[in-house]
Amino acid sequence: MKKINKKLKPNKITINGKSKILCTDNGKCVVKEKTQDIKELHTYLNTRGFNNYPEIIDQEDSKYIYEYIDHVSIPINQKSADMAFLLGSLHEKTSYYKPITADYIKEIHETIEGNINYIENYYTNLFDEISKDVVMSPSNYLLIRNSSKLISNFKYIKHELDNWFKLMVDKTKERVAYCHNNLTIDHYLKGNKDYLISWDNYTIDSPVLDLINLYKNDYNKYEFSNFLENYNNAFKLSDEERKLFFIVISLPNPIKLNQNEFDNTRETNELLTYIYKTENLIRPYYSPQNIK
Amino acid sequence: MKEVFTIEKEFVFNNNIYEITSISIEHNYDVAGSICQGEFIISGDYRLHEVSINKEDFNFKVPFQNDIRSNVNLDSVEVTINDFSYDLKEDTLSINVEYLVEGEQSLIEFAEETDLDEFLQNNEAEIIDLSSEEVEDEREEEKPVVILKPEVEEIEEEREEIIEEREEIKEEEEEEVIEEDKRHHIDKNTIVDSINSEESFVTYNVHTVTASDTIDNICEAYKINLNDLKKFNEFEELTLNMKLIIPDEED
Repeated sequence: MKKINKKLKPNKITINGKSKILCTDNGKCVVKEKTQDIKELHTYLNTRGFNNYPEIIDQEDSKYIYEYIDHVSIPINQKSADMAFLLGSLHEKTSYYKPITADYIKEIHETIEGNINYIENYYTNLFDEISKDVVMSPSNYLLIRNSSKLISNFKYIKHELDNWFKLMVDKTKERVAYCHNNLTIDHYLKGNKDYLISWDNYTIDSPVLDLINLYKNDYNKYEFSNFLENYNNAFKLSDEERKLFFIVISLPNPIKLNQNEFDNTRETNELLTYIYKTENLIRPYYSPQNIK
Repeated sequence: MKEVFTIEKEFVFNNNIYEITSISIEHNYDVAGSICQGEFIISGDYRLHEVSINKEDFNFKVPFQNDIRSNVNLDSVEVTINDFSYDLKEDTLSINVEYLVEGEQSLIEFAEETDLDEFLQNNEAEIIDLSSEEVEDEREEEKPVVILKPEVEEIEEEREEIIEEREEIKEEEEEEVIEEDKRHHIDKNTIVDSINSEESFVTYNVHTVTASDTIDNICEAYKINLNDLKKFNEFEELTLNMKLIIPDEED
């Protein structure tokens, strides 16, 4: 950082998350820690005709200096729709098929099943504990009142996991694509063109990975069903990919309870919001019209 | 002048805060007399609680003041922020600013390189090559000890070879030697050479024996004695076109 500051002589430094924005006499730039070879990624993306990333201006020690993108602020639902197209085009342009074995599918099935069982057990035990209380705390009351929702949710996930396994069992290849792997709406900027920023964790994996991360980060920020619809127009998810996506997002995280009742109630509320929102997102895909 | 200073400061908010969403640092400064003073303006926004939707602004000022050495050109003083970091613990925000105050030192300029050599011989001075910043940086890190002795020897050897050639090819050789002499001249003129002036080395001439030469008149022409000549050459008696290595007497 010292070398960079010596070179650029910034008038103003802003720390924003993991990046530092430097305002110099020659304009702004962004300094970020180098975690992966981003230049290699850029070269690859260019060959695939995808250039919606901030250019690297310079490199110093273990840091990349990126161009600063002057972006406009637009309503979040509009932003999410635009982002869906961009993400779809990234997956579309970089996807290819990778051979897989039956063992690999079985392994994924077992891992997810193990997770479901663990979380289901966790909640069943929690419900048992809570029901022993004579007087329930607000958070516990909120949770127990919605326990049937959670239980039916686990039923749905298990059922869908079996369906997914049936679809996958005779598959010999799986679609993979370049995944940003750190998506949130804040990493999408609209300037002269659309940009996805913060590629530090990029990886090659199933495109579902990006959707899962994005949903877990942003489910409460904008209308996700719109996003999914737009994404599907740009990049059509296969049946098994969509099923896997729904299974993983339907599985709630274990709730963290502590001594603070205010925090507990907030956490419980967040968990239930997540479950209801997820159900609302998924349900239309099982309506008779959609199944046809 | 280049000096690094560090400022650590703590600010206490009225309440515990959840996170700093963004923090910026700006600075302004003024040089008056031999004092450079100014302030860092730290601004940004924070969220009071995990559930808060709105961000709130904050703004602090941290003054700084530094003396400037007398031999520094005051117009050239510049303050640059080297590093900036922060840490948040409950209601206390601690910041750490490392900044650099730099200014140009008054310089002595030499019109001629020979003047510089003379100056260097009479005075002890540090030489900084201002034409390239990188070299300057390296000099800061490692002390400037330059020993070019092996190179000097190499150049001597080259020169010797070329002088040998001179005896064989009479016409072309002159240009080459002039060139080589120039190199030698430049070589002698460098600062390095003046540092190493105590290191002695031997230069040679090569003499090709002609019909009219005798051992005596060769010794006389090069002002050396027979023993010295025999140290460098093995011969019983002179033959035509024989090459003799004549050590340069002065060295």
